[in-house]
Amino acid sequence: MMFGWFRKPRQVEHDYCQDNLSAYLDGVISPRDKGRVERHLSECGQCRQALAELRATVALLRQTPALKVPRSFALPLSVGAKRTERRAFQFNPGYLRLAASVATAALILIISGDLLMRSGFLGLQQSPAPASEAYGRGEEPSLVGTTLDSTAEPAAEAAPPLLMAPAPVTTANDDGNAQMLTNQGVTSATSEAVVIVETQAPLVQALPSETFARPAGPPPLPTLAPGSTPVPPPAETEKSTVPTAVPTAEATATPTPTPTATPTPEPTVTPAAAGMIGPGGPVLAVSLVQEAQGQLRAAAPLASDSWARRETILTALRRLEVAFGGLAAVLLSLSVWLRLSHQPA
Amino acid sequence: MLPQSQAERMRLAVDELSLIAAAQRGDVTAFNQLVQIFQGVVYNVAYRVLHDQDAAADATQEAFLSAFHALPGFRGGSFKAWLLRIVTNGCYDQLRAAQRRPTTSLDDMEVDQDHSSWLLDDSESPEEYAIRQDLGRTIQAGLDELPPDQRVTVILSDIQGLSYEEIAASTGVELGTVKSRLSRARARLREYLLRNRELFPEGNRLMGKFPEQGT
Repeated sequence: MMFGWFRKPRQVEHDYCQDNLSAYLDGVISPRDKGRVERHLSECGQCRQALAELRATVALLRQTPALKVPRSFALPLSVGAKRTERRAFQFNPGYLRLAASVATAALILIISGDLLMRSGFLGLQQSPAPASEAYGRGEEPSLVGTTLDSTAEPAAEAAPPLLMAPAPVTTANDDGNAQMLTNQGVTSATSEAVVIVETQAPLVQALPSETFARPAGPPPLPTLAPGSTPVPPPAETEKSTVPTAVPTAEATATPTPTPTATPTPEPTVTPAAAGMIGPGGPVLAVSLVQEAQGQLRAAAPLASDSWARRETILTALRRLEVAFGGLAAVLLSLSVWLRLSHQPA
Repeated sequence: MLPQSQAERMRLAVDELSLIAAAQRGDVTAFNQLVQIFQGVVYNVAYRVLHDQDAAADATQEAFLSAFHALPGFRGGSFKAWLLRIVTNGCYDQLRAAQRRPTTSLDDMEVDQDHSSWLLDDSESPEEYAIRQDLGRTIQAGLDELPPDQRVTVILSDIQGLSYEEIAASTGVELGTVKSRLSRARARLREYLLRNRELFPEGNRLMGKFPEQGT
């Protein structure tokens, strides 16, 4: 009442009332505004008329008849299969990538361990002659010297196939197929790792041979090996298992691409990293690993059901792979270079 | 439509929640039960906004499809409002597309497709049914004159009976915006109905409620 003494210009009150009639009708109005509208209504016939018409309009609109639905809008059951399938696919590449990363990490460990043990960092400065003499002559039997040529190339190629192994799965489409691929991918990855572990010693010994200079050539012939003897059967079988597993996975995967699948960058990145010999390579690899770790840490505490978070984890894993692959390639070429430059004359 | 007891409404709400949970896990059968519940509302809103049966049916089907795929992202609240938001967004897209192609002309939209489509209420006489048909057509013509934002708001409020809060959730705007859009839409419709009094047969019980001007 205190402010009731202050009379606003009639036109202002009229416009205010007109603007708020709709809310007043619905009762969606503050008590203060409601009082103001009612005060104006009591003295303005035009607004009372407008309110009555508005009320009739709303009443009329409420009478609007509903339409019959022309048909059922139920979804076909096949829609559900697509969604669960998509969800299942979010996980498979993750596991596969993890397996591939672990396998590559094992490769790095083995190569770097070998490097440190046999020649060490000092090997660059010191004369490597005694060490390589030890390899060439007494330490290992000549039989091993020949196995190396049949197995060396698959081992050298191990890094690229390992990295490519998860790619086919992301492009696969139907569920059963994916499961099969996953198994194949994992077995191929692990079997490669096993091959690498088993043939690790001959691999280093094979370094003087020129076959290492060729990145992806055909399987080498045991021509350059010192004291070559017929190839032993166990190494041969090991070698043959590796190439067969990988092509089947790729062959079944290619005809069924999914729109959600993203092409994996590994094949393009790895050669670049492999080409880098010197301090740049490891630094790049280490920074990539750190980046990947950071991403994993950022994604870990969050709930795993979000697509975006899954994507982040997958990207992190992909980077881990690239980093490990790059590191492996760098170490491998480092050891090649080491052997070549210190070859006994 | 049917009067429901409090307990009945409660039971339906619980059913709805469990259906939503199942559908979120990818259960299409559960989702289709939700479709059964809400397709009437969704289709009617689409029809009133678009004034075209085929376009409304397309918008409804697309809305349910994208709702199914977006369901894992549904974080509670009014499921009806969430659905209506999807369908009204689809309707806006269609209206924009129709604006860009004026050749799919308004003539097509003006064609009266409503004849046999009204829900037939058992308690209704044929005369009343005819009157309702007329009313539906008149109101639709009035809605067609409104800008899309106001049209959607008044349809959700006065035809579908949603609360201001539900409308705000369905259209993604503030409560104040809902209020002003509704106010403007009703004012326009009031003028339209006054202008077109002759569209209503003499003695129409509905228009009989309309007060004479200047009394």
